[in-house]
Amino acid sequence: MDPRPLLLPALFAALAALPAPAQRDSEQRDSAQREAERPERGGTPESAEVLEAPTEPGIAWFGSWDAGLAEARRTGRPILIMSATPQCHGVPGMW
Amino acid sequence: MVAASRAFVCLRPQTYESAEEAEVLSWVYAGRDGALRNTSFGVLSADGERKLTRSGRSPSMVYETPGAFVAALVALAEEHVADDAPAIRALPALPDLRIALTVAAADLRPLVVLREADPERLEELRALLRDAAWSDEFVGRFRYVVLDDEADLEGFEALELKPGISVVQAEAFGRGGEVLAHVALDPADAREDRDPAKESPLAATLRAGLDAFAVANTSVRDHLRRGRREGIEWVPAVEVTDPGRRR
Repeated sequence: MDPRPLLLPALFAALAALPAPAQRDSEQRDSAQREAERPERGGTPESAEVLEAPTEPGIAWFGSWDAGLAEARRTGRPILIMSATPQCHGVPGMW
Repeated sequence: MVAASRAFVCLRPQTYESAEEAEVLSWVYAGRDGALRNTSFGVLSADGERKLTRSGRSPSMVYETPGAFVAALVALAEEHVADDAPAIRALPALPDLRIALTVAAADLRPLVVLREADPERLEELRALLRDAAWSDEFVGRFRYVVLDDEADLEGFEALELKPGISVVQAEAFGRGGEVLAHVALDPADAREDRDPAKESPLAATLRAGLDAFAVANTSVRDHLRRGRREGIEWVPAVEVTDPGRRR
């Protein structure tokens, strides 16, 4: 069973509104070709789907309490706070 | 959701990476045992002193549906955000390079690194980057970190980050990355380039970084399996107190 709590993928999919992978247009290189050209990239199992950069705006997250609080005080805007840890069972790089 | 979020300062601290933040997060939400959980959610007043909603481990603990959550955010904005409230302008940066690389890897987003040791020049570059970060074209598409000291690069020298602004693709576990685009921006030149008839070198660099970015969307299972196989371990700054996350 996947050890990751089910809420996290749903949470960040909804809140960060992670855009779908960029749709390739005819002028862009095929992802597989791009991967083949850059085989040295770490963490890229050959079988994994390749995602390109998001094409749509997303949520701009402040990454520290002090910075976010300072901006909230300056603007008088409330704080939408969500915390998470960027490691999954001790392995970094995954919420 | 993204549109509704714009009325708020959206803040995502990293749980278990700061004792000071852990204290705040424990106030926002803690389990019945009083211990800080891996995730927490809440909406706070602008001074950070009051909770404007129930808090929980996630919005789904507080709202039945995503639609209900959005509706609540809209209502909260109407009640708590003045019509003439200043726009959010500060650079939404992460606290250090180690965390920034890991967060960028987890978010599958490119990381923009501003590196500059000279304080005056740093602030000029930060202002330029801040404007780009909140522009319609780029808002929410990158993660950011600012490095103003050589020591900030410790452990990540292999990245060879040059002074200026770099777009980095983090390695899957945040142990390093690849510089996709870089500009050694001259603030004076960049200000002149704000002439809409001229292309901004910063915008061109950010676009180049986005265009070059491509990451593997590995499953959680595969990511964990590979991480464990390679002995990759994240050491949090403070004790993990979530019963489900203790190892």
